[in-house]
Amino acid sequence: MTSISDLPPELLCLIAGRLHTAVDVVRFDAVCRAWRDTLHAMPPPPQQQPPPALLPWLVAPTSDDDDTAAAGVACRCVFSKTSYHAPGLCVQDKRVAHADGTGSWFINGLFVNPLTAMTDTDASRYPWDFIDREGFSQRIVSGDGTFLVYRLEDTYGSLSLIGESWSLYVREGNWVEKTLGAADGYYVVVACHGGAILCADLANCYIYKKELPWHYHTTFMPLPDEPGKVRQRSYLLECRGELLLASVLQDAGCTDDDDRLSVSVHAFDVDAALHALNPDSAVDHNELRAAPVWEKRDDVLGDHVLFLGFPGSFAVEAARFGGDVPGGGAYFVVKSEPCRVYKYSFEDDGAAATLVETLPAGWNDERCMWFLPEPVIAGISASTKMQQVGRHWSFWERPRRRRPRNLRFHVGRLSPTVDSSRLREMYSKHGKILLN
Amino acid sequence: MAAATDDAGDSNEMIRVVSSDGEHFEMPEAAANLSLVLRHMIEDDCADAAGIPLAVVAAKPLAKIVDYCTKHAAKSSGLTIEEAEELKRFDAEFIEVDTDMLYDLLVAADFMGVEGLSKLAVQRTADLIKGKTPEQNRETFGIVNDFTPEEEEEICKENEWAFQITKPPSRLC
Repeated sequence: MTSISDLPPELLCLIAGRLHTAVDVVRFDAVCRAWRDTLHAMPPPPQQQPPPALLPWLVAPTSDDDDTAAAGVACRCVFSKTSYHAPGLCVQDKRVAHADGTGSWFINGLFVNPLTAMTDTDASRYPWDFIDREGFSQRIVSGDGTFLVYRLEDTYGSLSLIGESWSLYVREGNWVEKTLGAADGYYVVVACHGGAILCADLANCYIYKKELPWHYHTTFMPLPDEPGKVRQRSYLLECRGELLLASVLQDAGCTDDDDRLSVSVHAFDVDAALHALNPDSAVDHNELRAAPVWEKRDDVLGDHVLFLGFPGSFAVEAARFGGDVPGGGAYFVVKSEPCRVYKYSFEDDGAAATLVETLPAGWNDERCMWFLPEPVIAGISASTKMQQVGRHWSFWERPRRRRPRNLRFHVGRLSPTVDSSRLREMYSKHGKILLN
Repeated sequence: MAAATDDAGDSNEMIRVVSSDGEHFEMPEAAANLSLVLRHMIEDDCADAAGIPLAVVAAKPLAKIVDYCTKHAAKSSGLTIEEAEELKRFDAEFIEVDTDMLYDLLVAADFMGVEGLSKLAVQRTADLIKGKTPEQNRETFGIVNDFTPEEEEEICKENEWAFQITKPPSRLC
């Protein structure tokens, strides 16, 4: 009897390529050898096409409540409706948001995969004891690889951002101290972009750039106006080399938390903003009105999907999900008990965001982080060294495995007299032939 | 046994094909052209009254494929929204087959180079796999677990999270 497991490898590859949730891929890997081998023989994506990605997961902030925290950190995939509790990470929020969409825990100086507890950094490169001691509880990695750790400090009713940054593991001595004024820390998001550190709340975007002589002033740009709407949340993210501000808006006059929500996106030109803010440039301000600081971007995001979260957000080319999620939309989490995940489509102008899922009980803090899962498929991890962080933080090494790849040839326009034995004869000098 | 030819579009040339078990089928040229292999044979003037032999495609899947190609060839260009919807419905019903037939269709569509059907069968297979545990997938597809217990343990350890997750009852078929 024939069965799907007898399918030629290239067909199994096509089938596996249609799976876009991490849990389906990992379970596919565990069915039998033929299926497991398939995932090792997946052909690389054609050139100029983005590599496939698995649909993102959400990870909740660490709970202050001991009982909830003891159950582990909650992770959820709203696309496959699966949940997982990562054990043993309940002391402090350890999340790191990476601009490329991946996510990790920051534990003892290592970036640890939230689902598999694997790490691909081979040494402790960051002074984690210092970072923990200083209480830098928020962590982000920007598109250019800058690692920023920070905390928000409220002194005498005035909020400050205090942090430290590293570019490519080199400590820049980049002690950040930026006064944000009377901002509400609960709503502040932070991003690094082009050598500047940006913080946005619901009204302003604050800019910190080290080399500017006037950086210690409260330099900020008001966020763009949204007539008839009220800004509920601001998010900063990088996409195609630009810094974007994504705002979750609600129609003015709505009373329910999740009634008539929408998302608008603006590109934020940091240089133009600094120019406009520079007291020295005010002298000849007539010729300096050139570049606008905010430029609407909703209409050009058709290829991308935005995942808005905390401490960081990201944009992904929709093609990476193989059509499972349409482009031109944004996913975000709305406060509620439990919180709700909404999706807004930039194409349906005027339509409100739609509910994707009400999260399971216990998901009461909306400052969730999205991340693209990177499950372990033995032998195909890109990193040279993979380690798993165990419950007692002991490490063991994993051997690196490689398997031979099957090549497939299409031979066309043959005379009808050529049969399989003739084909075998023609090609056997090049290697073992598997004819289907 | 001949396939339905009523809605064959404007090509009146009929192409004959012969399954591996000797059954004869015919379909309009436009339908045969949806198969890369058949198209090349027609271009090379290999389509004659005796029929094109398809050595690896048995009668059962071939009948389905002839059906699929005939339907799709008749409605290939300039579809109205309703026609596109109808074709979609046809596809959805067409691919509601058991796993043995699905296997045959996957192999045959791939061999004959019928791209649309290949995609349809691949997607259907992936949809059957989705949301199932490894054990449920083995059951659905009649697969023997050929891992040693040690290997199985290693696989589970690699991605422990995927085997411990909580989930509402899965959509079984």
